[in-house]
Amino acid sequence: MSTTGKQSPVLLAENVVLARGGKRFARLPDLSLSPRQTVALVGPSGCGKTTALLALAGVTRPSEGRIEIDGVDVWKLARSGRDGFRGRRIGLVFQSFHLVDALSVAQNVRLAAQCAGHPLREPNRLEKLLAQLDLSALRDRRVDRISHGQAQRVAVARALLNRPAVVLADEPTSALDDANTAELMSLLAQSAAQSDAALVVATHDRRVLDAVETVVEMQALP
Amino acid sequence: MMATMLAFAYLRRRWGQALLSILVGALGIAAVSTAFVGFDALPEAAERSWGGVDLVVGPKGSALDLVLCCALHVADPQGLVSQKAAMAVARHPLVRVAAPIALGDNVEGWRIVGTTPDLLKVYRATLARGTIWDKPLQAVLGARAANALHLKLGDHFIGAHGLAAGGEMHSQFPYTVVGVLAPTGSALDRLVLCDIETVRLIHRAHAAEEAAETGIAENTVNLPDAATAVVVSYKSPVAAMLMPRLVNASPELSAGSPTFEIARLMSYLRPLTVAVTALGLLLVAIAAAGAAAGLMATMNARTRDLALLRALGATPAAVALVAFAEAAIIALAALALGSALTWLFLTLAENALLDRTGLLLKPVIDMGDVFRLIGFTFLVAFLAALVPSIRASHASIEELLQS
Repeated sequence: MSTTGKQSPVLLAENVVLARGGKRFARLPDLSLSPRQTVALVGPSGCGKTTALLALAGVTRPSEGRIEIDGVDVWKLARSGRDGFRGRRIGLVFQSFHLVDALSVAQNVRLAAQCAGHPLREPNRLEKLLAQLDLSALRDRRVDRISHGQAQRVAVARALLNRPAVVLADEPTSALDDANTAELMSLLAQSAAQSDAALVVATHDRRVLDAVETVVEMQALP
Repeated sequence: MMATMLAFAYLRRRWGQALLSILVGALGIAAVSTAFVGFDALPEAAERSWGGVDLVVGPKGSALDLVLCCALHVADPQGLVSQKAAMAVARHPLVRVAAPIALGDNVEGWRIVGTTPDLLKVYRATLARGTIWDKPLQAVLGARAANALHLKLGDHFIGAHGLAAGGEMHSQFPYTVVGVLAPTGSALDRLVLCDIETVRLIHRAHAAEEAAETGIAENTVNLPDAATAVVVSYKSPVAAMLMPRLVNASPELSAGSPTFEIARLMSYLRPLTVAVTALGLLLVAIAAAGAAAGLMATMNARTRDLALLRALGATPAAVALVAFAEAAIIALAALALGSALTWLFLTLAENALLDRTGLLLKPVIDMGDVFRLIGFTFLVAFLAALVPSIRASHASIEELLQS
């Protein structure tokens, strides 16, 4: 299945085949996403959703195919260039958020810019994002002292800080109840749209499907 | 910037362990630097103390004891010599000036030294106030002694038998202060000077009293021109080669050269310096091992955080820098605390040495040594962080996403 947007694509994946231990095991359906588009990558556990996200993020090299983010062929970049590119143009949201407990809310969000070696050009970007996600009052609180819902919002803020072209979220709702799943998906989709980013959610959670525009299914290879 | 921020945040979270590493490291640094600076300053302190004394001529015995007793004034006399015999040897064309000294009494622990006005020439000392003695029982005080005893011109005091405070008082022989010397920075500042005949007069009287009580006569009675030693200042450095041999050739006299004896003493102390330095280095190594173990343990606990940094775009080198930054902060804090402890230890040593021996320790900080110490500390910190940082740089993003 392929998804084609009307604007020039910020994410393009063509003929991507994934391998594990040298053995091809899954194919990623072709993708072409415009800014603000949302897509869910679905399939049963072990079908290669996370590996596909790693390939899109420039972490795990696919055995075949081409992946472009914002017009740049990710896998043609050198390793250090790919790291920096990922930091600047790709936002990541993890299943268990992975915040740094030793840091405050604002420091966790700012980490995205610092890791990417990318000074924030937009004045007050951090403060605006914290306000947008209702985190301003918590900016100096350590993240091990905030609630689960607040931690979700911090993870989203961190993913969006550098105004990425694409936000990749890996099983963000797997441990959430229905209400929180709906709330997080709404937050992710809205926040990504406000930052002009496309959103790809890898999930086996059927509850997510209502919150995205398109659903694509991983294809297992024989 | 990121590395520093994270390093501070991580250190705050394990502040107890970090503090321990800092304390042990600081103690090691302080031990090494105190040993280096202190032992370097000690010979200079001794040299300042013996002033212009190039040679001590005294009775047969230990040359080091002679120097400690009669040049540095920190030890007790070992016997007596005939002033005439000792001065006969000292009267040599290569000698600038020589003066006999007679010890045996004190005032509140400050040594009373019977001598001749030539002693001032030996030390190149000048009077700050008053005059030199011209009668028995007139005293000229060294600058520190005058200050400590709160005595001024015209004041009287009573001497006590022996070189330490608390001896039998020679109440029938009150001294009058007639002069105070300008500070010289030498042992002279701690002495109370009087005519050598005054000491002999008092000791003859004291010996006579004791002989009457015990029936045993002291040898001062048998040696009317008894002196503890003669201190000599050379006219030419050539004398250093000749004079000790000349003196030691005499069957009754021996020579002690402060320069030679203190160098010999310092060579005896060298193993102590090495031991203190080794102990300091051991403490630094323990601190480094503690810091390394702490870093290794926390790196394991932080695998997730470090992988996250990689996922957010940090290069392996930038992630490795977090471990180095933590070790560098510990090293910097240990250096700062170690410097403060060194200052404290040296100040305590300075005061203790001044109180007990009168030696004025003036530690000189060699900037070359400072830079070597800083370099060494950061090298140890670098080595402590090396393995943890390599592990950190290999943090796996795949494992993070799949966890």
